Amino acid sequence: MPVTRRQFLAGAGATAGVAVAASATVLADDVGEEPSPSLLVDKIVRTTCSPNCTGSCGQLAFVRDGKIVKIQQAADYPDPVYSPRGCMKGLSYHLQIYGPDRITTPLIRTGERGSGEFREATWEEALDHVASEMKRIGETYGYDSIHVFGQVPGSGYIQKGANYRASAVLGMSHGTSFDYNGDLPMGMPITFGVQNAEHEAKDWANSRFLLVVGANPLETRIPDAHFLFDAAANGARIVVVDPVFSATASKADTWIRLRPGTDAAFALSVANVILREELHDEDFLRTYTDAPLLVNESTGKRLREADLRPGGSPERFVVWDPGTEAPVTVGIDRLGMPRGVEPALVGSYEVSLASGATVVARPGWDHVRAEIETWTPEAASELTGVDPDVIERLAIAYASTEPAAILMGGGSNHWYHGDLTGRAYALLAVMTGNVGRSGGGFSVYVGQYRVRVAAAPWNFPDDIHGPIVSTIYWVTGPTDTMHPSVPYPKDGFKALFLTFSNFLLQSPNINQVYERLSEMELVVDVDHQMTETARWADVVLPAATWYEKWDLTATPLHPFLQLQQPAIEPVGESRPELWIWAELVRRIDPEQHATYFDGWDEERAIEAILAAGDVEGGPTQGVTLEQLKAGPVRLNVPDPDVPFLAQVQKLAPFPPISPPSPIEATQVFLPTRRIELYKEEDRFLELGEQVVTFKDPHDDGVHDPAEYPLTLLSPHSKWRIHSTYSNNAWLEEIHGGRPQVLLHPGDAAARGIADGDPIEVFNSRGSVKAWAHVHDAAGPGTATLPEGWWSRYFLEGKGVNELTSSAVNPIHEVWYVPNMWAPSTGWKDCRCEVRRA
Amino acid sequence: MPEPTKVSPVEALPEASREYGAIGEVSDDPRWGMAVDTERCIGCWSCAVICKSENDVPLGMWWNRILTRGEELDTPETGEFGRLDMSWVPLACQHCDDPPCMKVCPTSATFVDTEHGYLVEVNQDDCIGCRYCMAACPYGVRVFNWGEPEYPVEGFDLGMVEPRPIGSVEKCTMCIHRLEEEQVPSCVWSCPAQARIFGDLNDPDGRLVRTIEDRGATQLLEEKGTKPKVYYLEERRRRSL
Amino acid sequence: MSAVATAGRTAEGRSWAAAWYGLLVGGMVVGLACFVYQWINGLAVTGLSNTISWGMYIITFMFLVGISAGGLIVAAGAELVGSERFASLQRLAVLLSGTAILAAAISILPDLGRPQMVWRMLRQPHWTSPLIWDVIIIGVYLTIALIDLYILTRPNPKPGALRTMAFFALPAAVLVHSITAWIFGLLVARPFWNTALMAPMFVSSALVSGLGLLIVTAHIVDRTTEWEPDRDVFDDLGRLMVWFIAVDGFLLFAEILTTYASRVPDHLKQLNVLLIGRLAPVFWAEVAIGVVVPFAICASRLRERRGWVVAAGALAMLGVFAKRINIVMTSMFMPLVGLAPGIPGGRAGQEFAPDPIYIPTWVEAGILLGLACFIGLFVTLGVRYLVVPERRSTG
Repeated sequence: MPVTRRQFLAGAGATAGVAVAASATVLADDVGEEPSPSLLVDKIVRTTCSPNCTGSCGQLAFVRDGKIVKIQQAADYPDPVYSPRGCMKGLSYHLQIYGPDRITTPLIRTGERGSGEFREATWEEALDHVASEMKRIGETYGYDSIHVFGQVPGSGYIQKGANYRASAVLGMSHGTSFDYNGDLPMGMPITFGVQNAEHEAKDWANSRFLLVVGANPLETRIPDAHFLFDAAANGARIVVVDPVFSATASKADTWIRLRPGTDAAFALSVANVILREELHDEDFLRTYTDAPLLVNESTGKRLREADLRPGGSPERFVVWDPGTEAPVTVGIDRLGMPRGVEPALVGSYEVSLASGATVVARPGWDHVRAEIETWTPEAASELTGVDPDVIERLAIAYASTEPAAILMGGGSNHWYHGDLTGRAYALLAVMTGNVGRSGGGFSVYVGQYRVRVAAAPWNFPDDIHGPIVSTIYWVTGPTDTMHPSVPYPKDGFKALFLTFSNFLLQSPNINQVYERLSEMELVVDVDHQMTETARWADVVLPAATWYEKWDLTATPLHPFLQLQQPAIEPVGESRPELWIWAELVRRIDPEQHATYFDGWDEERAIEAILAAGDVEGGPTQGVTLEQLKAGPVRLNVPDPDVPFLAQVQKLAPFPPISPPSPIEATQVFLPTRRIELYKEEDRFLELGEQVVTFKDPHDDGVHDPAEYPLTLLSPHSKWRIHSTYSNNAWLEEIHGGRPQVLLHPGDAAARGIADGDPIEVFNSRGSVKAWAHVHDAAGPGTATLPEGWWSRYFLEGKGVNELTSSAVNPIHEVWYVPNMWAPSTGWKDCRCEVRRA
Repeated sequence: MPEPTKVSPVEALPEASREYGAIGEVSDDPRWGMAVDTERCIGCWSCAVICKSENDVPLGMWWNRILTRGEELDTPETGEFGRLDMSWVPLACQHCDDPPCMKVCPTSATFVDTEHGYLVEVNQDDCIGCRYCMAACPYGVRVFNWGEPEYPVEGFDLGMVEPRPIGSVEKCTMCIHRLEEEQVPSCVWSCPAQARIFGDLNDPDGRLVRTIEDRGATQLLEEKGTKPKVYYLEERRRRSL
Repeated sequence: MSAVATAGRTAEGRSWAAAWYGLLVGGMVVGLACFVYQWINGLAVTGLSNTISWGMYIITFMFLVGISAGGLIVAAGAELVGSERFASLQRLAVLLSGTAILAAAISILPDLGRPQMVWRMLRQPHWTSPLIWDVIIIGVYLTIALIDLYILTRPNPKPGALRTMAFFALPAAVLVHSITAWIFGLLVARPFWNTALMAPMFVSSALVSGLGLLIVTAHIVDRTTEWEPDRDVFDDLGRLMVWFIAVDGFLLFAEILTTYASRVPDHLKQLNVLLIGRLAPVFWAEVAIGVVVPFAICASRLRERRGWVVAAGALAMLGVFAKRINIVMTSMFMPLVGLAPGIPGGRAGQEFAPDPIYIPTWVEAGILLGLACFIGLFVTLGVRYLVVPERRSTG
């Protein structure tokens, strides 16, 4: 029994005499006192937190006297496993709203760019100034010389859609973020023909084996991390592959330390064991993939029906039927094989062509098999540093547990050859039949990209499509290998218009970015925090946060559509992007304004989007604005939301549509309309990537590994969403506000570096000074400096992106569909050296 | 403009949210307790951050914090067999049944509230600021109002409870103001990993007690005899490949 | 205190006296001003934090309680063993004890966050708190000191009165010390404090420091006034010091050996702060100047020269002060749940500090200076009006 105050006093009173008893009496009066009730509030507003993460977490804003005094998760998901969502960053967002770096008025630059010298201006003046400059530039060089870049459209379809809408109607070139952020997993369009396709987070719990590669959901997918534990509670085994001992590794059954950038070799060695042990699913390969399709040995191209006989279709492919020992053709409108045909997957066959010639052909799988067979665990081990024995056990466990899922993150994807890595892991999922089934799959969780509603009527009204140029080309200029359909402006770019983007900190190779910046005649930054980027802008326009405006959001991680609803008046003079664009368009082109902006407020825009998707099978079928105002509404998707169900269950051809692109745009990725393990386009053949293989990191060819022996990893930090929250006072209290570079003790000792020392991290592109954190958690040969720290936190230098690379992989330029087949940045493909500062 | 009518933050909750936070069935004489699942804790500090908001905890003070085993934040330690290992210990007032802080308080400002779930509470009016309780608490969870409360910017407004006076000691109240309205403490609400279970230790059939029994749990510094009402559920056993 | 010697006699003496009093009063004003400043701004103006939540105020409190009890034990002991030589020190010793215990009581006030609420300790005392018992015993002890002083300063003290008082004074002295020790010793949260030896060690340290204070003060008063103690008393005091230090050192050794040899992790962690950690310099200084050197002096022939005994007394007192620092700080440096990132500092900009430091500020220094000046003034006045006249009346 606990000793209570009252009981104790009773005892004390009895023993300690009259005086004591008297004092006890006084005290006894207090005991019955009721605890004070909660302080009152004006109202609670349900909205959605969506910075550039994939959380899209419903939040409640508690408002008192016109101010947000608490932000707490709404926890109102119709599917309770999704409640509460939210993380410490979202819960402390009022520190961003009211914090010292909040931009509250329009600012016009008075000093040099980057000097941080501005004068406050009225909206009238700032808008007039920006509009007249844009008009001048537009009329001189063409409006496509104005590059509009906004981060993560998926986090706000209306306000960020306003960027697209304005770009479309004025003809400005809109940039891309998903590929520029390096999050576009190029292995997906290459293999599956889709932009990306991941299982909804709760489906992790349905898995019995989770292979987590280059991902750290415990830190970067905080709201969804618990699904790993749900999986474990359901009996799943969790294996984490990471060069660094991450938070997620700490929860794994097994952590495998991998040498960074060697994922493809690692995955191929796993495939090697699976193949050797015959644990692969040949039926699956025959039914859903291009594995049986014959490839002409002399050209490297697939055989078509048209090759076999005159008048044959160029869209029908050829397999070898061992039963009849003859070629059989298959179409592209349905998966599977002709009845009774079990085509050969291996071997080499002589096929007579219509031309009369006879060629040797091998099934695509035979090419893949040959590649796999070279990657024995022992051979791969030399590259990956993983014990062959571990690979053996992993491969057998993965291939013999059903269903098994692979979760990949930016750590594996953010490489120049991230496409090969993606293809290699996809191969594992495909060869074991873990595609299109709950609990299985190969999911890449990087980037808040997906347009899950019918946004076209808002983004591209009347089907007006402005030029969309992958933003990497803003940095690099047109490359030699650039796809001819990229609408690069004829005179290059002359203006940069940024919304909610810390572009000058969070771009690859920022020193190159700064060079390019000097060519800009106008830089406008719409943001709510005085970022490094805002400091370099000519005009800074104060943006409303998502607690101050309306919007519509969704995420790849969960299937709920949600609103952002204003809880408070915009702080200071800040305004939503839609208002800003409407005012600018009105000044630049009153006619377009009258047609496309006048009378359009957020609610009308949301209703237009909902209506466009409210068709049979449409994403927002039956969803109304009223429902959304009350809380999250599940999109019209399967439960659980698993990709490729129609393909696997109904044999519908690949690829499924990747909104907002029309299917015609992405179908070309897969001429066979099957999962493609073999690529026949010329550039794949030229570069020897027709089947997945391993290639050394690109930067090894730029920086001699002898001179720059360390790989610089710049993962996401749990304390930030990229650079957002870098300046959050509460979070700073926790993590201490000092950028640290994690080094392995061996590497540190070799350089005379001790824990806590100031050090310089450098390569030929730039350098930054921070503090050393020396620990066994680091992989040997790696230096880990999480991205997103604002420049002011460093001892010297702008940030980690002084060192990162903007190199473009020509494979990513075989086609051009912005954000779907486009250059994806390789942040982690970066060599460096460190020394004591 | 007329002042808007103010409402209780619980009454104003949307219905689905209120249901999510409802304490649910308890015994006639609840003894509030909590289980923290160290398997599920991901060290994200969401519970600590919401505690700041809920309770108007100024800069430099935390009622609730997430300790990393070992000596460095979010850094693994080397385990028995040379393997790296990392786990977290969320730490706030343990609401001991035999609280050392209560015993040493010279004015009974700290007391066990037998009428409200046997929580250890502080009556700040009675606190003389001697900080004896801070010396006596084995968990180091009490914080002192050293000066005027500090906030990131002037006029920053927070919280669902009154601020505490300068010179007094404060700590986790288990959100007693919320319990009174039948809502779980804010840290329990806000844990994105669902690692916290709140309930009635006097209800052997309740989810809290059942989970503690099923999973096995330890109390922090059990050997000190403080009888904490916070239990730590053990991590799952790892299975090697 | 040289002013006392010639006070009122010569012009030079008057100006020295004025300067001395001026210094003391000025110091007290500074201390009071600092206290008011701290009261307004909170304890944020100190070097304290949530980790090291007790500092110089509590250390000073412990030290003052210590030197007070020591003084009284000497006085009472003289009576109990009937030592003629010690009798000559009685008034001075009681004066020192009374002043020290009064100063100890005062020294607690600046440590309180809300001194204006201290009356609640009386309105609603919580009897399980050693602090309440300490307040009571300090009150009792102060009362005994005042009564003793009253008895001693009567023109013809009743011979039995002091002896009777000694029966109260001795247990009170042991208790005032023990209860102060139990403020620390009863806490399960602080393994370094949580030892049964805490009270005995406090008593023994008190004897050492109290004796040291008496030796030093007696010497100064002897040099600066016409008051003269018994010529051989310093030799006696030196002999006594040998025993006191021996016992104190023995207890310290026993305590450390037990912890060190049994290697209970939490306990050892705290001990290591002392032996090899951040406090090692203070600890080894404590051992050297508080135990080894004064013991060597007092146990050797050096004791026969008064200067050495006085030096030994001063060193022993310093050593005990260092010991007080060590006792308070050791446990504070190493909280039981010492995992990263530690305990929040308590103020903006104070990071979590798994390895906290404590540097007292000028405010704490100012307040302690004021307290020192208060003691100085009290003792000066006491010597001038109560101790010196004794010599005149008896001489």
